Amino acid sequence: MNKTLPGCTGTRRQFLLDTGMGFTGLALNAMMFRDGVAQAAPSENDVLTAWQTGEAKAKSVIWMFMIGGTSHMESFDPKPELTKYGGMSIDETPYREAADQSRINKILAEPGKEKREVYKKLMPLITGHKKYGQSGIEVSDFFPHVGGAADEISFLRGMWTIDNNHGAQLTFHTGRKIGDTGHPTVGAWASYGLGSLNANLPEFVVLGEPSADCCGRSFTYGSAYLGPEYGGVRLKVDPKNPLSYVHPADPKLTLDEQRDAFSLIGLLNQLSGIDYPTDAQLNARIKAYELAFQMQMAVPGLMDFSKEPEHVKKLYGLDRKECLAFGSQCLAARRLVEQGVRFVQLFHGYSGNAGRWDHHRDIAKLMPPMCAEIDQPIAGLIHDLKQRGMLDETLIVWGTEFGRTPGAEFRDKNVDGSGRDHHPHGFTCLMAGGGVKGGFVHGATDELGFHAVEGRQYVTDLHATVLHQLGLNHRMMVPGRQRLERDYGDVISDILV
Amino acid sequence: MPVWLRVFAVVAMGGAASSWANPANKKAAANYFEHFLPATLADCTLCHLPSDNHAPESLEEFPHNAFGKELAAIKKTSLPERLKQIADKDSDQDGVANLVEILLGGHPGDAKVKPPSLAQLETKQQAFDAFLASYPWEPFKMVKRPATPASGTPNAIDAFIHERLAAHDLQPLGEATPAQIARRVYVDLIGLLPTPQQVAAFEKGYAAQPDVALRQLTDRLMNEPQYGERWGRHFMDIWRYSDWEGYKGAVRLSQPHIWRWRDWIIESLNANKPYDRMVQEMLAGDELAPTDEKVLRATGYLARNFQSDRLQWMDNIVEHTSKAFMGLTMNCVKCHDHKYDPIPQTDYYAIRAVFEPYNVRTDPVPGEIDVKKDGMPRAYDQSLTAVTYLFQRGDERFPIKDKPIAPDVPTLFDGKLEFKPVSLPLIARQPEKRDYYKAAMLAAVDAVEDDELREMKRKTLEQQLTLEALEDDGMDKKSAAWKAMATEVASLQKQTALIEAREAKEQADAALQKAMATKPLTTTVKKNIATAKAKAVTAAKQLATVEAAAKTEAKPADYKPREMKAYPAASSGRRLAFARWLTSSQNTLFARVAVNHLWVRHFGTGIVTTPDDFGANGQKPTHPALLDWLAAEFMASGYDLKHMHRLIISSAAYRRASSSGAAGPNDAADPDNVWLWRSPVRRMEGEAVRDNLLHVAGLLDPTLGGPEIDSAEAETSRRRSVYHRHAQETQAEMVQIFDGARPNECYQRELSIKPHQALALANSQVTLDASIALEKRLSRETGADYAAFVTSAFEHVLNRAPKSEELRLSTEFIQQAGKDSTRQRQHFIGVLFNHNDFITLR
Repeated sequence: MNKTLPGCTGTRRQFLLDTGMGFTGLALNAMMFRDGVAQAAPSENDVLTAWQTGEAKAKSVIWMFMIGGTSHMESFDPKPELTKYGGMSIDETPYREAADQSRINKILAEPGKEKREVYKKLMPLITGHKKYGQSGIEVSDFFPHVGGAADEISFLRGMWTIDNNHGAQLTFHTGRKIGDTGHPTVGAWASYGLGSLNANLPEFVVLGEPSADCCGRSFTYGSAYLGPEYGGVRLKVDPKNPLSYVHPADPKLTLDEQRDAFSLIGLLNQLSGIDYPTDAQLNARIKAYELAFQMQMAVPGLMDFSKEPEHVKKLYGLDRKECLAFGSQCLAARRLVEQGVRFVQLFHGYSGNAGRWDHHRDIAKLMPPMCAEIDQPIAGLIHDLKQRGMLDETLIVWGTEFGRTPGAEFRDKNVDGSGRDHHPHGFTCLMAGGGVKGGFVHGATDELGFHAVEGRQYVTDLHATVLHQLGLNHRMMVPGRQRLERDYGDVISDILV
Repeated sequence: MPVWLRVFAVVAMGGAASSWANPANKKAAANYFEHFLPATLADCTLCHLPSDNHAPESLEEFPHNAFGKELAAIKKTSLPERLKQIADKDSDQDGVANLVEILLGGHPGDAKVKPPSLAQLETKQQAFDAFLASYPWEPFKMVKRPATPASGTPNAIDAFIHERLAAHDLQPLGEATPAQIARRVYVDLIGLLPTPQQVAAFEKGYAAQPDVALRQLTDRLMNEPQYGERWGRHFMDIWRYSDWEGYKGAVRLSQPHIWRWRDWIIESLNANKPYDRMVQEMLAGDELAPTDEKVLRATGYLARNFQSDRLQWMDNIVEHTSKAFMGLTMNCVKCHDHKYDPIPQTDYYAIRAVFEPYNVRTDPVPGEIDVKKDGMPRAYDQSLTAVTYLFQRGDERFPIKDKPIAPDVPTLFDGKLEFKPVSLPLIARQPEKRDYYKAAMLAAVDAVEDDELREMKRKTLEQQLTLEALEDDGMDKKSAAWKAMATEVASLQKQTALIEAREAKEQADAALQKAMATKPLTTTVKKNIATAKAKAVTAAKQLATVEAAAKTEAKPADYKPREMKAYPAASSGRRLAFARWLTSSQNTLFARVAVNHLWVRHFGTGIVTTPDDFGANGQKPTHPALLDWLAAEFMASGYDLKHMHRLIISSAAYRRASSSGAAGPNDAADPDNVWLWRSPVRRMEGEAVRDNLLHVAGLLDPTLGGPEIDSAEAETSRRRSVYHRHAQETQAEMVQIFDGARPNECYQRELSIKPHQALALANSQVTLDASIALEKRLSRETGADYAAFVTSAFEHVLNRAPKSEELRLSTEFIQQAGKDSTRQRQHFIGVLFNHNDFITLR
């Protein structure tokens, strides 16, 4: 038993052995703590699971997802040629082959599914950009703080995806198209492969309002066939009520009493397990109870920022109204990671629909305030992790489901050229810390930001890289679940230190 | 013409050749060959040149290969038939027959690509022949009852299941214990656990005569009113029950008082109303029984779909009516022809046209004149001439106005929608003329305090109602009799107005006096005085006007008829015709989808695991013959739901054990229990978790029906969860945590296991209250005998006795030195409520 039940007394453990339950108990235990969960309380003696490479560079991941599709040209892949040719048709520029339909169809999972026009009239950049840091990487003026941290970041400018509609939100997390909801997300794989470093907390935490019903909802942090216990647990950044039912209804209930009760629940469930050794649900429930007890003690404190020094809060922009929400998520993420949570997934831009980053119109008006909401918090998180010596072991990923079109979108009288359409052919994601190079650019789109032409990476390549840095073999799989080659992804070794 | 429109036109014109443009045919070829079709041929290249890899936009673009050409040349027959016809031909003249090439990975239309070897031919051919000979799954063909496979089992369900088990070399497990069976049956039928006495009684009966005992239990439980609550909640998932949502009184979604539809569902199930009749009433109760307020509640199905955005409203009703009763994803067809099933885009609009005329209103209910306070939301046809246009690419801004779409059934089915308007009786057009509404008006008059006013109002109203009734009976408004009566009512109305105006003035004056007497004279008081003054002046003016009018003699023209809502005198009849077709055998999916839903709720998963999609993009049934047999049985029984429950529950499959106690060869061969060699282990739905906490503790309030209970009260209310408010934003949280139904769409519940569920079950007020109540009861019965207490608690909560280790651990827990034993016993009950096997059906 490498993990004891809370309040599990010596006599009771002894009892299990005395009554001959020792063997079954161990077998049950081996099963319930099989694979990743066995790592819940790691020690020197722990054996590596079949998927662990033994070469972990990062302990935890903070995965930030922007819902709706952030423009890559106006964030981290500035394209001056757009401004130069702004107002002209692609056909009138030297880059007319970018709009070739067959090239456009090539990457889509279902090319006919969602017909989208190619908007050829180019829209000039709505903001300027400049070079930052020693690396001199260009970042848009909407992201001065992230620009300031450019020397810590790898810019992946050759991303592409397979869906030109917001089902790509699900794709970004599972590598599958929207209809294929039965697949685990990258966070679930990490949690399955490794388990938590802190038995008191879930391995995989979700902060912020996730993708809406249209675009993957709970499947964007789900675990599918890996089993529900590996899915993301949603927490609120609110110390009073981080989670409903976190406080017992009985105000007189002492911690000891409850520990005792939970201990008995665990023992009785384990005894039941002798009769039902193949019942995976029972095992999951036993684990859920262990975690629940520990969570209710650990979680409220985590969301209480009162002991954080003012200068740290300022770093995340908590003194700025626009940064408060996402900054709090970022700070909570750091605190969770500090406590050993493996995977923290942050969502930004929930709208109940496609997402607030979905700037089909008025992009010049709508995008700048949204960038302001996240710019300082992201940079603050990087700096804070760095100053604590945690950046090396914490991998930060910033992503969005796709980029936006170089052309202005003219769909109808409402969408009249003031915005950009969905663009799966080339977009940018960021990675920082966790053994990833800083001040590094990997991949590129063409001069218009249309097609990813160098360092082309599909979204599962991000997953593969994340898992690789966590010391997992990204080709790990569950027997009987066939996956396409593309679904595994390739490790983006160029960006690794 | 834009390309997409050209494709549409070609498809719409029909013809054997044009159907090649339909992707459904591509899917049909893949279906015909299933996994025997090599991946290299699985796309368009079976019939088209492999070099041409772009999706064809129209017929002219198809560069058919030799095989495709030959296939296209055969007209007017189904694709499988055509494929059969040219199976033995050698289209590309390379010396290898078409079918042989396909089976061995060659190319039937390309002479350059031959199978690498003929070695596997015989095995492949045999396997393919066996595949073709297996039970065909043809969801779009009429249900025909398949022959029951020969077997030694009395229940046909088992015959079909055994046949599949044998084919997969699986040995079914034996029977579960009678106590486990009882637990399943109770929860499946009424959603509530049996008491220890009920389990004991069943065990005794089952030992003597298992089939009789099970049958009797099934029948008894189906006659309990809780049966309707249990299955009502299931159907509320499928039919998308949602309480209303809105903002500041403006309704955005569903309708206030929609609970009347919920009560209709529960009552109808308890009465075992035939399922087809239920669906007809939901879709067209107002046309089927225009004056029957009990039936009209059923149209809450349509009222629930109300959305302030009419477009989304129509989208939802088309999408979910299709999913719930046809298992078709018609929503895909709003913008384009279906990619998997033979459904042209026009079908979407033909169904939309069925619903185009309808709108929602709230009719009065007995005992209440204000429909805001209480009423019955229902559907009615607002316009008999509502027109539906096809939206280009589903975009409502581009309707094709020169080609209105008529209401019709989907073209892939037999049948034609023939409808005629239904003329509506008086009280259907003017519900405020219902007797109960008149009675409520008179009752409201009787509640007036002032004697003089009350008498006058009553007299006026009575006379007025008499006159109305005469008018409705055809009294001529030019007749002397009418004039005399109208004059009389007008005179009464004037007198009533006079009394009312006098009273109003008195009240306004009194209010002014009171305001002026208020000290000190603050700004607020000054303001109040000014307001009161203005009101007094208005009241005085009003009185003067009324007095002046009273002085003049009443004329017939002075008679003020009652202001009443008046609705159209006829309904289009579209929905009734559609409902009749939908519930007929011509809708080949009606019974199939329904029995599959029943199966989901007895076995955890459906025979088709995508209960809302029976099309080619859904999952194929694991037991197609069984599904068809059940559908045929359901139809033959007259859509008798209780008959189906009886049948399923009596099967050996339902009674099987869920575990053999150790992993066996079955676990490796069929880990997901696809072939039903064991009973599934199921977890109770959130509602059942909460209900059973209360039920086992004896706290459950058995009251049936009534307005929804605020979901904030879910922790303290004792009513069943089905009566709690259930809408997207507000649901009982505990139910939601245990994967409660999403109101927008829930064709089957998800299953998750999360720490949050543990916290909810451990920390909720419901569990605490239930623990205290059950402890009290059991302690009274068992006194200081802790072992007896523990045993009884196990029997109440888990429906089984504790094993010796469990008993020892439990008594040890209760008797801990220095701890209050009552409190420990309460905690112990709480522990059992958190036991995995409390919420699990084994």
